[in-house]
Amino acid sequence: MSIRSSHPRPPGTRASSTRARLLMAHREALILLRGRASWATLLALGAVAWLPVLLVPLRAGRLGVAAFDQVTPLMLALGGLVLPLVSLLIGTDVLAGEIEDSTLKQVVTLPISRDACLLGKALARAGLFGATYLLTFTSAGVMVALVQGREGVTDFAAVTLSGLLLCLVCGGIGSWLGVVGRGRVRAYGAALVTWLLLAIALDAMLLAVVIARAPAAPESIGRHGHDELTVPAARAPSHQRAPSANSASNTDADPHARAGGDVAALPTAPFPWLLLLDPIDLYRLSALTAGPGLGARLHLGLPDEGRRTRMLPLIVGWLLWLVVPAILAIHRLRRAPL
Amino acid sequence: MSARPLLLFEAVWRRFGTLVAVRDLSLAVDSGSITCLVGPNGAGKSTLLALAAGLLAPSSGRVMVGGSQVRPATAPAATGYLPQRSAFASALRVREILDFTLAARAAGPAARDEMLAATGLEAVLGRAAGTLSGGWLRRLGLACALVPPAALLLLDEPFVGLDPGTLDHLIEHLQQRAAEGATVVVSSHDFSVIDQLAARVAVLDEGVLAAAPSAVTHSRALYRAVLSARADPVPQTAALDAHHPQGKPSNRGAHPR
Repeated sequence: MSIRSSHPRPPGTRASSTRARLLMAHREALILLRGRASWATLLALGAVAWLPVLLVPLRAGRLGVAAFDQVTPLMLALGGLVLPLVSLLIGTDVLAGEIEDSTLKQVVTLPISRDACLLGKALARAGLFGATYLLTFTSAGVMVALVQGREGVTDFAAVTLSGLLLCLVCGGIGSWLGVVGRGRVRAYGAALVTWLLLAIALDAMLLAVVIARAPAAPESIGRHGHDELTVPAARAPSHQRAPSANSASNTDADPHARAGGDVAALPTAPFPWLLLLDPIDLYRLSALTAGPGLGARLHLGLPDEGRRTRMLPLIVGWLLWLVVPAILAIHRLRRAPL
Repeated sequence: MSARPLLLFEAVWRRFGTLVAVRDLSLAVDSGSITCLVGPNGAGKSTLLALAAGLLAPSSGRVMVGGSQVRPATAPAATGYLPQRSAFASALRVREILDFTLAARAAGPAARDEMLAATGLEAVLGRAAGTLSGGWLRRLGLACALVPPAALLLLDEPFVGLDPGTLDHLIEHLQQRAAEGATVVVSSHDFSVIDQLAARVAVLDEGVLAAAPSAVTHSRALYRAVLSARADPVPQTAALDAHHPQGKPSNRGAHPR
């Protein structure tokens, strides 16, 4: 592959933004395709996509392929931990390495703006990562559909697409950390801390807030004998139960809960705005909202009639999480000494 | 030679934390000239070139290229820059790096041939940058910096690590580019090459322009005289005047702002 000049732009002038981005994207793609990081990414994504498919039957002591209703909840949980870590590290690598190795100097002193440099690199990373992601997840989905049938494929698709959005968000955060970090070690350290913050600390804190403020759940929770993601009211500590006034009014207002729904009525809790603070929660909520069967299986009691209402904050949340880190990264790179 | 300065530093300061690398420096580099920055290690030569290339922003003051202020977000379009240490993405082949540079500058095949002839990179076009020796990396860096039609060439220690043949080619090439109207600014410690280039010489010391650019025949003598005069101003003045009839040491910015 080679990059050739083949257009009539007057020599010595700045390349158009689109052309400069494409040049950078091509350069980045060449680097990525020859690097070991691409194989590591394939391996990590393959693990998230295929392990649930293959491990569930192993629990029963046989080799085989699990059905979508078994695969998807496991994939949702595994993806919430692994995908942010992988994409944060990949995002950090967009600039941290080139800044530390001084290879970026050769690029930014050409008629290519720093914005175009970052966007071109991010475009190539997102494209190659997205292709790898879709390849691994689609292959796993096709295998499950062929062996076990297509029931539950919507939920699988919802988890897959939400996971892809989560990866793009974390990649954006990573690229910002890569500029701020000033060197590989510090940038990767910051990425790990961010992952711990998002995947564990913030996630646990928000979950605690949601549970504490959620209305009391009906006693029927757990009747299916499955593992629940939420805390049953009967077993929850008293401080985690909602204030009685709110609880009563919320339960009254929610026909699903009144009818003895499966769990605390999340739509009347701080959901969804508070949970939008953490992209990992955003990922879970998007998957649960877009895949109604998944919510039912997990006994989250997300009624169908509320889906459209929940979509708006989710879309707003994704847009903010996608745009803000990218703007921060561009802003920082513009002023960064190289 | 045109009298209009292509590169202009106006009261530029650059600090790195508590270290002051450039102090209140004002300098005009005429279009179509070859200017050599000389000075001891840490004098601020590389910082000055990085400021002109838009890699660094001045802490205060202005850097202008062709009448426009240099800003890091968008480096001057017609500038070729060679850093002190040439570094390239190790996975890329020499051919790909050159093609990328040519495409970014919208330079045609003629420019490619010109660069290959000046640097002799033909022999390593298919090799990955990560496998090149220091000398080849230097040549590749030069090829990228010199790709026409860069009107301002900022070359930081360009003569280090080059064999005599390549060095002769480079000197010839720089003189030709200057004759065609390009402005060349070079930092170097190699006084014999500087004299061969017939460049205007500016002396930097501790971030200060100790001697403004002027044409000299013996750059080493000027350098020694200027530094001696700065160390011991009174007795060396006569010696400095003898070597440096047009330029004189600038006022030293004694205290950072």
